Amino acid sequence: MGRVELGALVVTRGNPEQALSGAPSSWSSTWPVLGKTVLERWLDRVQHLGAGMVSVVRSDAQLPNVLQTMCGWANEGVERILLILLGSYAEVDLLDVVQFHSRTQNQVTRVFDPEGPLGISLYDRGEVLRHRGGSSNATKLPARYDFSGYVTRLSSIGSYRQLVLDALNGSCGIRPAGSQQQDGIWIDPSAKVHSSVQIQAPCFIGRNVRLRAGVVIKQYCSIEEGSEIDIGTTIDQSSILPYTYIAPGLNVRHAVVDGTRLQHIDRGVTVDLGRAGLSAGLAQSISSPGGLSPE
Amino acid sequence: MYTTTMYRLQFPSTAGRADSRNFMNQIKKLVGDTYQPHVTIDLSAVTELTADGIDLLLECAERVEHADGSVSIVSASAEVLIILEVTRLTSVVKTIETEAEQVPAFISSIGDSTGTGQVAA
Repeated sequence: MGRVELGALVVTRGNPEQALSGAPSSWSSTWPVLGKTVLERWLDRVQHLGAGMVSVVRSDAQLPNVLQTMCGWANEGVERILLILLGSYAEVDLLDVVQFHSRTQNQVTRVFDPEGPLGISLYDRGEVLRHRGGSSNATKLPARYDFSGYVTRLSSIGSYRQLVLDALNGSCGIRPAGSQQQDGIWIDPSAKVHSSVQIQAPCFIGRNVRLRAGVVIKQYCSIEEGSEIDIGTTIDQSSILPYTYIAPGLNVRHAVVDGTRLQHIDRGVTVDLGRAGLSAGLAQSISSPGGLSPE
Repeated sequence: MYTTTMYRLQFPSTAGRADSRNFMNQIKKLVGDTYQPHVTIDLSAVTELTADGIDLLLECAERVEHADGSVSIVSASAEVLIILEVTRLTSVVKTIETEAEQVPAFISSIGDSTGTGQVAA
């Protein structure tokens, strides 16, 4: 293998405390934010940085697996390893972090914002190999890279919705996928929107979404890929996650709906809409002429 | 002289066939016997509102409405309240925290009628 300057390891574990407790109000890094997940957005930036090796470790992986991967890369000659514990969306300039790391000549650089660590660290190969060898000899203290730009921690449904709102408002660097049909209304070209549908800006309608007759999409909504909103339903300040079917005539407000699960943002209550026949998960591969069908 | 009456009914915890029939029989009886019935439905036993439960509630509201009465919901859990909102049932029935809140609305409503108020325990 040729010499690789930089490898990036992304660990999708979300907020550690909530992942452990299984709190219903937590959100997953696999949830898209206007067409693309936070994980995909991190990977884009890592690739843009020119990382020669990129790996994503699933949230159920144990820490030794992460260390094993890092040691393996170090053994293969990867000079620097960027470790991202995916607990936030942070618009950190990764190139600047790498340059800062080189400038300060530290073995480890950790990124902080005013609230604390962001789970982003850059390790020198030597430091990783020293760790593998079980050496307890302290090297220089990790350098601290302070970041003061846009950050949202992946801690709750509220923080997920805040990220969606900030993206729709243009308050962060996220740009909705798809084209902007009108000022503040992004609709993917593959979406099927009935002519009677009312849409208020700002909002996002994702790929292969189907909005049936009489649907009203109010401000600050995101309807993610493959979802279907049935006749006459109103969606207000809510996010509909991918491949979710919402039944006719409903009024969904201040909520995130993932298949049959509705999480109310203000009240912190989770409700199973499936038992009442009000929503369903949709099969991802179905694309019949008559449209998507509930599972 | 007509009699306007407040009723309190317990909504079945599970909208099974027998429970639903029993509940609807009570509604039919009071709608038949009473002028402008004011029905308070106690949802304290309901932990989850199913499709059958929603249908039952709608049918009840429809019958009482046709008798120029009104339906209020009391003691609904946070989860049930969200289902009521999502299905827009909150525009058909009034949701109240306690029955004490029902009384002013009841008095106000009988002030517009020629009937006499009577509260059933």
